[in-house]
Amino acid sequence: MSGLLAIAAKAAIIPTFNARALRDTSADVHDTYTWHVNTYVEQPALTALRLSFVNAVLQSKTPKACLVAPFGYGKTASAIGLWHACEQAGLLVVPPVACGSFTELALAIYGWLTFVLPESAALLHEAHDRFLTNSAESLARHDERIFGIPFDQAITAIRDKLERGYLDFDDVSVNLLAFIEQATAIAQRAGYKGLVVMIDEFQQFLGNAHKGVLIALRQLVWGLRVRKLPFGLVLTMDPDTERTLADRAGDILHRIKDDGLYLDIRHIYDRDFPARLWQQYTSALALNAEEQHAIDRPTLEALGQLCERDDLSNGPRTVINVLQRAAAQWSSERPTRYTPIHLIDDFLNGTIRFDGDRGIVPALVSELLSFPYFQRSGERAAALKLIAAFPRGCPEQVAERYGLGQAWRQLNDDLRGEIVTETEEGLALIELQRVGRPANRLNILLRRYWMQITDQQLFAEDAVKVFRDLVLPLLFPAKVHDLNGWRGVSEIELMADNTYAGIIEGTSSPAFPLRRIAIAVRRADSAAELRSTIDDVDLYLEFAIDVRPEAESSVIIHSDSSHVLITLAVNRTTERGLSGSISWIAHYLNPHPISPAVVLSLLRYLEREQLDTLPERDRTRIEDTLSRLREWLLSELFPPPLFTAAGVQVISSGVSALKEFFFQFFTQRWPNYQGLAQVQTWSTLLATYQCVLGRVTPAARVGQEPVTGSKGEIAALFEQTRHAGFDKFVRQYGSLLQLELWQGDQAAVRLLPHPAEIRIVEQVRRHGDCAVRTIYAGLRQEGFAAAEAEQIISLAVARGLLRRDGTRLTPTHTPTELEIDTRLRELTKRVQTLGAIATQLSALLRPFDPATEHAVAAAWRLDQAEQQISALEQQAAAAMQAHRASSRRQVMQHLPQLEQELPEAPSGPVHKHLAAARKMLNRERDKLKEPAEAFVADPAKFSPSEIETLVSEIETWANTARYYADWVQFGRDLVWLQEALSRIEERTHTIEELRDQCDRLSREARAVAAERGLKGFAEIDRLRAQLIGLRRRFREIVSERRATYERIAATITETVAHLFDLPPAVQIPAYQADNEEQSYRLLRQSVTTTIRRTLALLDVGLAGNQQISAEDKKTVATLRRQIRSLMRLSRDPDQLFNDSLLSLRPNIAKQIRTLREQIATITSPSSATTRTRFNLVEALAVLRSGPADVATLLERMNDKVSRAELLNDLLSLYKQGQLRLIVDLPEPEDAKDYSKQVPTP
Amino acid sequence: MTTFHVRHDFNPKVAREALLLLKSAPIATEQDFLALARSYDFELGRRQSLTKVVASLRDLGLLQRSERRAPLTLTPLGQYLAEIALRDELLLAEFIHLRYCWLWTPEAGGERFSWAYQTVAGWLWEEAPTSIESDRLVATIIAEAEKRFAIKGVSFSSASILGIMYWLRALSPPCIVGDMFRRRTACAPETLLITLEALATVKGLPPGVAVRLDAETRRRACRTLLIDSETFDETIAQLEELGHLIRRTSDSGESVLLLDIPVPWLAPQRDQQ
Repeated sequence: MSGLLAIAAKAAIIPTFNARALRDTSADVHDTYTWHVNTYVEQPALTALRLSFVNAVLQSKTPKACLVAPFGYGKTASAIGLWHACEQAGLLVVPPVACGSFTELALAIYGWLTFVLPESAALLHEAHDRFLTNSAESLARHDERIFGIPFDQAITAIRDKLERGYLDFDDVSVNLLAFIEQATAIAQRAGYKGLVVMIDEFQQFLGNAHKGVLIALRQLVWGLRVRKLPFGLVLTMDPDTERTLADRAGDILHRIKDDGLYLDIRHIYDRDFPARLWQQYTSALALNAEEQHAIDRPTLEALGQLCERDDLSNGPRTVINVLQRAAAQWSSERPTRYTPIHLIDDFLNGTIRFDGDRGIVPALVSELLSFPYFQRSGERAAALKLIAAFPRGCPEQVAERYGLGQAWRQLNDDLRGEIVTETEEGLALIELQRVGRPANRLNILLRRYWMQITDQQLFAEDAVKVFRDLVLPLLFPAKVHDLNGWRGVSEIELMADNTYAGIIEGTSSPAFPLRRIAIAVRRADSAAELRSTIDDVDLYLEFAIDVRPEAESSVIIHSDSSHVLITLAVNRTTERGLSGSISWIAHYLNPHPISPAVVLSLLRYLEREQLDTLPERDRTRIEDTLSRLREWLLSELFPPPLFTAAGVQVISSGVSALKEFFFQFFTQRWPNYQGLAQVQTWSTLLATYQCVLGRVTPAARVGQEPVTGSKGEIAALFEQTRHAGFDKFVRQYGSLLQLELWQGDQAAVRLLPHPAEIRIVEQVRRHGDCAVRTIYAGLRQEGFAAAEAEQIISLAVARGLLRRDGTRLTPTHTPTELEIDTRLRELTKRVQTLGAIATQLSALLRPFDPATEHAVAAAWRLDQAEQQISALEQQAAAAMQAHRASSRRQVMQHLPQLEQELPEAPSGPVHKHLAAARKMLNRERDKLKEPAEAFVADPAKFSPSEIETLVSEIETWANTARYYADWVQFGRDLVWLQEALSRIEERTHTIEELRDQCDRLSREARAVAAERGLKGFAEIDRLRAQLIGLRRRFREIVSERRATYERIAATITETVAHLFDLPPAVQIPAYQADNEEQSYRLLRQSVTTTIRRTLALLDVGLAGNQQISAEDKKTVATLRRQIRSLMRLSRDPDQLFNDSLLSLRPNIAKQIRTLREQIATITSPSSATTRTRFNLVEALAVLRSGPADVATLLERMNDKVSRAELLNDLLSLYKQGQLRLIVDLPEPEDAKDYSKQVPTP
Repeated sequence: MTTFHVRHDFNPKVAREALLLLKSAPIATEQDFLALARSYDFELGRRQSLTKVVASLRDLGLLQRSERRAPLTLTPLGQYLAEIALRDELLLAEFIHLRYCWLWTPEAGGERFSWAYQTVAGWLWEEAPTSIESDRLVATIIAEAEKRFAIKGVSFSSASILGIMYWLRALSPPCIVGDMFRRRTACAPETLLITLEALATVKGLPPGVAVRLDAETRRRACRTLLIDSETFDETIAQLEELGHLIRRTSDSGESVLLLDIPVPWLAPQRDQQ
């Protein structure tokens, strides 16, 4: 294999052997490391370290050396070099070994020393075995002590693990030190000056740096420090392990560093390293002359510049990687010398794997090559690669060497300052500079823009899109509030006809807020036009982007003033170029003529930059430049003359010019427009305003009267928590609200309709009703924004000027003067029926004066009055109903009275007057009875007055009737008293006085009744009081009254007995002193019963006489009829007796006497029968009403009559209906044995 | 009371509108001025009176009026700035800031409102980054004014600070973000050119003589433009690249020879002395 192939085959990474490899394949390890030694180039810094280290070993300073570097920086190669150098110095060196534990390290030392010193194998084995045994025993004892594991059991397992290198513990390093001492001694005895052990990839040894490992390591390092041995320890580790050690065991690291043999090899590779390495290769591998030129000198120089930068390469590993590529290229079928351009190509295509991990060079070159500037020229691209290979700078002569001198100079001219920079050594890419790299990202961006700028870029098909993306948001900035900014700009989207179109709404001038604009952006050569079918917009605004260089910008306003076409000649070269604070940018755009299209293109390029990731300085500068470029662009696109041609004079440029244009255009279009949205919170304010309208009177709603109150009340009405500042708050409402009073605590505001409200009301009135849509469209025609138009309609409705019924608007009725007057009269009339009314209601019913009051307000006033009147009427109706019910109850109470006959006037002194009164009362009753019944049946039919009259009359009648009844009673009582007094025959003073007083009372009563008639009836109470007094006094004369009673009773008893020719059979009730009337009544009843029963027995007697002639039978029949007639009369005592004297009426007595005489002429009654019947009469006479026991009857008759006779008479009486016979079955216990009591005759 | 007040009625938008209006047509009276502003829907037109705006323009030397009834006419500087106003609002703000800064110099004195303006701006630049505390600035200015001018009764208030802040906030890139003042990391190259020329003028350098970029010059330029020193160097390099100046380095240090001045009359200028 040729030397170059050997290089090509050389692994970029040297593997490190482990302890077992050192023991088992020691020769292979030796050969491998020796091969690497041949191609190893020792760096100066390492030479110094090596010399110091070897000396220290030789001086038995027990040194510790350490090499630190990331992967790829040749730690292992350096260790191998050191290994070889130490061997050359007469030391026995255990080569770099990767081990994971102290026992592995001991194994490596043991294995390698056995390989180098086979004659000392036994000693070494003994020493190693002691190390193992001691370590195992130490740990076994530890386990026995702590865990109670039997020593014999533990030692076997521990020994096995130790031998395998799986076990580390605290004391292992102590044993290792002893082993090292013995190994060193053995090496010395073998003729070596000392022993060196090299642990590569120390991170493996340290593992996860747990406590046990660190303690053992500390014991090892500290043990080495206190020993004076010709022993050296070399460690290699990566920076991460160094950091771990520093964090967890800084003392160990410091002890290692103490020896002054600590080297970070990241920075030891200078730019000459590749050349020296190549030289080493050529000599070590004996490359021939041609092979030595497989890579040229500039490439080695470029590689050196890359290799010294840890951000651009992985140091020596990159170098080796590149040299391998060079060797491989030369060894290929077409041997080619490796150049810096090949180097960069290999970076770009990834052949060089070790590119510093971040790939800065390939990323940068790749990006730059993508610019058209390089794509258009292969030489420029090659020159770029060449320059990229030299971070310190590529000299011009190097470029000339590759035939790229011209391109090198071109890049220097075109890109210097932003892409390339001229260093002391040549031209270099700015991005690869560590220091002196321009921080001005803007300039770099501008240069990069310049590199990529093409005609395609300037006249891109997407000019329309760029305009939409970049310019429209500037012309119509995002909405801040209703009076500032626009919404919907981001919704302008691509249509099927390649037009960007959409509708935006916003404000450019507070004078014309919330304009709705249909926008279209299209190419000027496009036939598409903004569709005017879009409804409800204020303006159709069309931007035609003309990319022809000769085009001219223009503004055309269509005749209907709703369509504006703005043609923008974006590619027309500007006369003034980039002026002012951005004039310097023109330098970066040279030689392209400055036009809006160029700036648009540049803006688009710059805006792609991720500003967030840039340093603040760059970001600020770029943002500032962007702002200036945008301002320039707008100023260029919209200069004042653009609009002048369309007849609109503007004096600003850019966005301001467009605003001025809109203002003047809108002013011309809607000259009478007075906006509703005057402040940014207008919609909120109007919502409040509408709430207020709902809370005030109609007159106040339409501004006819102010709304007054305290300041706090007025402020609260508008939902202001404080009244401070309310006067300023009112101003926000403009003409809708006027503050009329704001003084002291008094406030008054007036709510006034917007003129547009009045107009739409008039329009609706003219047409009767209108569609909401029509009114809305009319308002939009007047210039009101959509939201404003809706608000105006809402306000008119809220104010009561219009009524909204679904989609229709109708006028609210405004009454005529006549209607108002008529209604006023009606209400006044109604009020009059209510009687007295409140002052407030009177005020509402004031006369209407059209000069000072709006008809609607007057109507509302009357509405209010009517509401109050209705309420009063309802109250009155309820009262009337209650009154009717009450009256009805009254009448109902008196109805029975009206139904009943008044008692007859009693005989006596006032009979005549009472009879007259009764007649009159009857007459009156007859008159009242019918209406009273009708009223009770349906009170609603009666008017209040009728009810009043009726109730009054009935009440009067009832009272009079009651008085009449009282009079009747009085008359009766008086008569009774007079009669009672008259019955008393004694002439005592008391009785005489009573008689006199009674007579006076009688006269007085007669006088009252005669002189005052019914009017004087009320005096009955007084008269009755007197009468009661007289009666009381009368009751006090008991003995006289009793004597009188008894006398009268005896008289009547005698009279009856004489009349019927019977023994006195009348049962005389006992006199009741406290109830004389009852006494006389019972007496009369007793007499009556006796008479009636006697008559009945007479009849029985006639009926029982069968032995008479036929003629007599007729007579008997006649007599019996007469008897029965008398019997009927005798049922009523009043028919039998004179009232006053308690004597039989003469006619009755005469009839009885006559009857008896006639009976006598017909019959000759046996005395026995008569007697019997007399006894029966006597017995029956004393019977009380109700059933009487026959036994009792017999007992009363004292057995004077036989049972048979008695029963026969009783049966006769029964047949005549004079008595009832009742058969009663007593209960056994109540049964009596009458046979014993009454013997059968 | 001696006034150091910087009018707060005058802000970048008002200035731009006023200059454009005055540039568009001769204006006889303030009422005509107001009416014209309203016809263009300018913010200026929403004011009751333009007297203070007119006074501000006059204070800055942008408006001249030979007599009370004479029409309102822009000065040459006013006309120049009106042209700038038409196309470059950002640059207009920079120029008016410079105008405020250069109407008073320690060497020649001048308008006291200009002293107040540049003292506030300078104080913020010195303290940057710093928060803007109006009361503190007012107190500082009053104390400084009394000390420097040996007067009592300084008329300067938070309204004056407002008048200054309008212009400082209008600078781009901004030096004020929120309530924090920071030195700017960029400025329009022309403004540095004007500033260097003004510094050369007040130092009494003859026309055509290079300006030494000594520490004081650099500091004063940075203070005026509210930029940091790195920006100063970058902008000098930019001006050199654009051919507006020639940079020289010698044993005595770095100096620049100014080749042209973009805006005449804005700041002290040697050929106009």
